[in-house]
Amino acid sequence: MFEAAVEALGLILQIDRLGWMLLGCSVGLVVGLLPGLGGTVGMSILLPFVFGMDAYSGVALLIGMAAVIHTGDTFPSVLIGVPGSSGSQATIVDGYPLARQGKAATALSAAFIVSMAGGVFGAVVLFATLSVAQPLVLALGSPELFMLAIFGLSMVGVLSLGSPLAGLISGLLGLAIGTIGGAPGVPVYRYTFDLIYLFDGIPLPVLALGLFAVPEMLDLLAQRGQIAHGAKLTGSRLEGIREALRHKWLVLRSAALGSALGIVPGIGGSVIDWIAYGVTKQTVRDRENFGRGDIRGVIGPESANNAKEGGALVPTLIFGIPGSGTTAMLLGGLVLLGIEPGPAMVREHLSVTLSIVWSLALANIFGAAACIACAGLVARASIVPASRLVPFLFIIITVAAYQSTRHWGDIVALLVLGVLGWIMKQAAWPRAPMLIGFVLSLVTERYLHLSMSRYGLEWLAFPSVLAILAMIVIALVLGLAPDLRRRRARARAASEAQS
Amino acid sequence: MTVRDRLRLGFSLVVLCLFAYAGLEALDFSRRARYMPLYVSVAGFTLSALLVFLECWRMRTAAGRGTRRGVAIEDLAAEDLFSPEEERHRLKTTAYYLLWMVGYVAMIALVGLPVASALFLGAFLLVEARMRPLATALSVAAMLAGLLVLTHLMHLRWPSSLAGW
Amino acid sequence: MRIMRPLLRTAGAALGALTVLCAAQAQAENGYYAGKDIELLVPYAPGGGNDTFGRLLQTQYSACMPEAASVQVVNVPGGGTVIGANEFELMREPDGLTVMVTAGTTSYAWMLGQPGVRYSPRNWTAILGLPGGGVVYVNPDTGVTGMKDLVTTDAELVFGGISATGLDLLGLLTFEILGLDVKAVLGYEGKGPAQIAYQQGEINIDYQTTPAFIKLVRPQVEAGTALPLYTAGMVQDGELVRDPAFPEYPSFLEAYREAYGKDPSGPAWEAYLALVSSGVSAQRQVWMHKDTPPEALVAMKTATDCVINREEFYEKGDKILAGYKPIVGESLQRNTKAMLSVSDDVLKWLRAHLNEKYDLDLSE
Repeated sequence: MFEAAVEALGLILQIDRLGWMLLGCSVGLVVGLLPGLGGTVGMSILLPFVFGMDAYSGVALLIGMAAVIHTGDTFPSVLIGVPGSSGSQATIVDGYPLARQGKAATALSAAFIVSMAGGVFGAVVLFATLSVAQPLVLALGSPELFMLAIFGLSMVGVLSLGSPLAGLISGLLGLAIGTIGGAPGVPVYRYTFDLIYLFDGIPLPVLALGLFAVPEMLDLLAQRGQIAHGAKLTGSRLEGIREALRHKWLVLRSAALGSALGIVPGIGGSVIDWIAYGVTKQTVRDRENFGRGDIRGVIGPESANNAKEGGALVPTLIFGIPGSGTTAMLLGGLVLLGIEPGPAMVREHLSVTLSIVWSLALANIFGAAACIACAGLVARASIVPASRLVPFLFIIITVAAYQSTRHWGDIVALLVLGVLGWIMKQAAWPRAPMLIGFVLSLVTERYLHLSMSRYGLEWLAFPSVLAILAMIVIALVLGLAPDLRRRRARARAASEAQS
Repeated sequence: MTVRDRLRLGFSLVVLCLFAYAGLEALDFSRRARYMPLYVSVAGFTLSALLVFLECWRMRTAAGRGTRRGVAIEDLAAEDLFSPEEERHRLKTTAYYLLWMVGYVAMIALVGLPVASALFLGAFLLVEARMRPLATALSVAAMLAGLLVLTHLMHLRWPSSLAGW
Repeated sequence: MRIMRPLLRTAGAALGALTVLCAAQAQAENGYYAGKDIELLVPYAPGGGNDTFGRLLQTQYSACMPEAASVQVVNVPGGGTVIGANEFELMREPDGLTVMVTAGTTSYAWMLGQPGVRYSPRNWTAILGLPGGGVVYVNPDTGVTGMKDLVTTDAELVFGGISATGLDLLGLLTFEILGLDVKAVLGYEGKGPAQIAYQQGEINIDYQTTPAFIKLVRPQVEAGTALPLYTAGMVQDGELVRDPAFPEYPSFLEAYREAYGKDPSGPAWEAYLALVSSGVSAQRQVWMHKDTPPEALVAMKTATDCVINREEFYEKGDKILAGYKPIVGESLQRNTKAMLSVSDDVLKWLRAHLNEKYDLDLSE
C-alpha cells in the first residue's frame, strides 16, 4: 500500500496536474467565499471540463474544489455572520462576535490553519480506513442512524443554554418547517398550500441566509456602525495561528470527530459543524465566553468540517453512495472519467483512489495558505461602514438565494424568513436550534419510520442503539451540569444580595 | 411593557398558533405522513403554551419587566438593551431599511436583476452612504462587472422580470 | 479613493474579457439552434445514475451540435422527478431549447395519478429512449435456493425500497403475482442505501436496476451472499422476454412458470405487463414539448441520430448504458403510444391496490 501511495504522489506532483488542482482550488475558494453557494455550484462549473480528461488530472481538479470549499466559507461566516456554505454555520456563533471585537484577522487565520490541519487529518483517515471501511459503514443501520440524528438534535440543548425553553421550541419549529414538502417514502406533500415552490420544501441556503444574514444586515444598518465595533482591528494573523497551536488537542479531537461523522451517510455535512461546536463547548473548561467570541468556538467546528470531507469520501468511494450534494456530483464526475466508485474501487483503481487522498491533502494546504495570505486584507472589510458594505452583500445574497431552486419563491422566502429571523433576534430566541431541527427533520423522520417499519419496537433494545443513547445522555449532562450549577449559584447570590 | 417584551410575548403567541394550525393540518395527512408533523406540533404547542404562561408570569413581577431576568436573554450583549424610545426608533429605522430591500426585490421583478442592482446600489450609496457621485458610479460599475463575470462563469440564473432582462 | 483606480482597471479588463468571450460564442452558423443555449433538464439531484446519463448526453449533444452556444445540464430535483417534470411542463416554453431526461418513475407517477403531478406525457414527444431493466435477488440466508423455495418458504421476506409508486412497484407487483407475503419497508433515500441495508441484513430481498446490480450486487452473487431470482423482463410483441443485459437470468414469466407450472394471469399480471412496457423498454427517455416548432424537432432528431452513432457515446457511456441499446424513431413512438394507452381498468386496479396495500391515496 505504501509503495502505491508514493507512486500516486508522484503522479499528482506533475505541473499540469497541480495546475488543475490550483484551478479547482480557486473555484472552491470563490464558491465558499460567496455566501449561500455550495459545492454543487462549483461542481456544475467544473464537470463539463472533466469529460475527456485523464483520471488523475480530473481527480485533482474536482477534489481540489471540494476540499477547499470549507476553507473559504469561513470568510463570510466570520466577517458578516452569514453562512458561506452549509458546512460553516456553527463558525458564526463565535467567529462573528470576534469580528465585531475587531479580531477578524485572528479568527480567520486560526480558522484557516485548523481547516488545513483538519483537512489533512481527514485525508489520513480516508487512507487509513480504505481497506476497513466496509464493516464500518455496514455497522450503521436505520436504528443507529436515527439515534445519531437524535444526537445531532441534542445539540439544540447545548446551543440554547441562556434560554432553554425558547431554544427547544426553536428546534421544534425547525423540525416542523423541515416537514414542508414531500414526505419521505410516500407521495404526500405537506403544508404546501398548493404552491409548487413548496413541493420540495424550503431550501437550506434560503433558510440560513434569511434567518442569519438578513437580520444581521438590518441591524448593522440600523446601528449605523460597521462590523467591528469602534472600527478598529485589534487582532492579527500571527495571533490567530498562535491560538490554533495553543489548542492543538482540540484541533485533533475535532478533526477526529469530523472525519468519523463524515463517514456516517445521511447525517449530512451541515450538522457536523454544529455537533463539533456542541462537543467542543461541552468538553472544555471556562466556557462562559462561548457565543461571545471564544476562539475555541471557531477552532472546533472549522477543524471538523474540513476533516469531514475525508470521511465523506469513504462511503462515496467504497460504496458509490454519496453523503452530500458535493460528493454526489463528485461521483458523477468520477463516472465520466471512467472510474466507477464501488466495492471494487480499491482493488481496481488503487492509484486513482490514492491520488484522491493526496489531492485532498494538498488542496487543503494550498487553500489554507491562499486564505491566510489574504486574510489580513479581507479582514479590513469589517471596518467598512455598513451603509457601504450592506447593499453589496444584499445583492450577492439575493443572487445566491435565487440559485437554490431558480424560482422567485427563493427570493420571497428569503425576505419572509429574514423578517422572521429579525424578530427572533430581537426577541432573543436562539436561531441556531431552528437550523439544526430543519436539517435533521427529514433524516430523523425517515430513519425512525424505517426502524419502526422493519423492527417494530425491538430496535430500542439493540446494543448499538443503547450505546449511542448513553453517549447522548453523557454529552447532555456534561454540557448542562456546569451551567446549571452556575445558574443556581448566581440565583443564590442574587437572592442573598436582595435580603 | 417595553417594545421588546411585547415583541417576545407576541412572537410566542404566534408560534403557539402556528403549532396549533400545523397539528390540525397534520390530522388530514395520510397515516404514514402524519406522525412526524403531528408529534412535533403537539410538543411545540405544549412548550409554547408553557412559554407564554411563564412570560406573562414573569412580567407580572416588577423585577421581570424588560430586565435581564426575562425568560430568554442571557445571550444579549449589554449594548443591545435600549430604552423604550430607543427601541421604537430602532424599529422604525429597521422597517425603513427593510423597505429598501423590498424595493430592490420589486425592482428586480420589474426591470430585471442587473438594472435593479445598479439602481439599488447607486441609490443606496448616494443616499445612505453619502458617497460622492463618481465613487458611486465606479462602485456600481465594479458591481456590474463582477455580476456579469460570475454569472457567465458559474452559469448563474437571474430571476425573470416583466422587462425580460 | 486610492483603491478606485486599480478597481477601475480590473473592471475594465473584466468587461473586455467578457466581450471577447461573448463574441466568440456568437458564431453564426445555419440552423435552428445556431447560437442558442440548450438546457438538458434532469429532474434528479446531481450525481445519481440518471444525472450521469444526462451529463453523458450533454457531452455527446455538445459534440453533435457545434452550432449551439452551449448544452447545459440543469438539475431540478425533488418529489421523485415530479418537481422537475412539473417545471418542464409548466415553466418552460415549447421552443425546443429545453429537453428533459426522465426515468420510469416519471411515467409511473403520472399514470398512477400521484398527487402533485401537473404534467402529462401526452404533451410531449420522445426523442431518445434507453431500456432499463432490473433484477430481483434474495439472500441465501433465508434458505431460499430457487423459485419453488421462494413460494413455499416460511422465512420472513423483507423488501427495501424508496416508495410504492416508483420503480420498486415492479418488484412489489411480482411478489403480489407470486402470492408472496413480503414485508415492504419503504422510505429509503435511494436504492443505494437500500442495497447497503441488504448487506447489513436489514432487508433480505431486493430489486436493483441493471447498472446498480452490475456494480454492487454481482460481486455479492459471486461471493454467494446474493441469489438472483429473475429479471423484470422486457415486453416484445406483447410477450415478456428476457432482459438483454442478463441473458443468463430467467425473466419473471419464466420464473413464475418454474414456481407454479402455469402462466400467470389476473389483474396484477395485466398491470405488471403495462408497467413493464411503459417503464422498462424505454426506462430513461429524453422528451421535448409536443408544440415545439418542427424545425427544432427535426434538428434535435438529427442530432440524436448523430449521438447514438458516435463511438464515444458507447465508450464513455459503457457503465451508464449497461449494455442496452438506445431506441429512437418508430420503436420509440410505439413505446410512447403503449404508455399513453394503458387501459383504465388496469390503472383503476393499481390505484385500488396501492390504496389498500400501502395506504396511498391516489387521485384520479
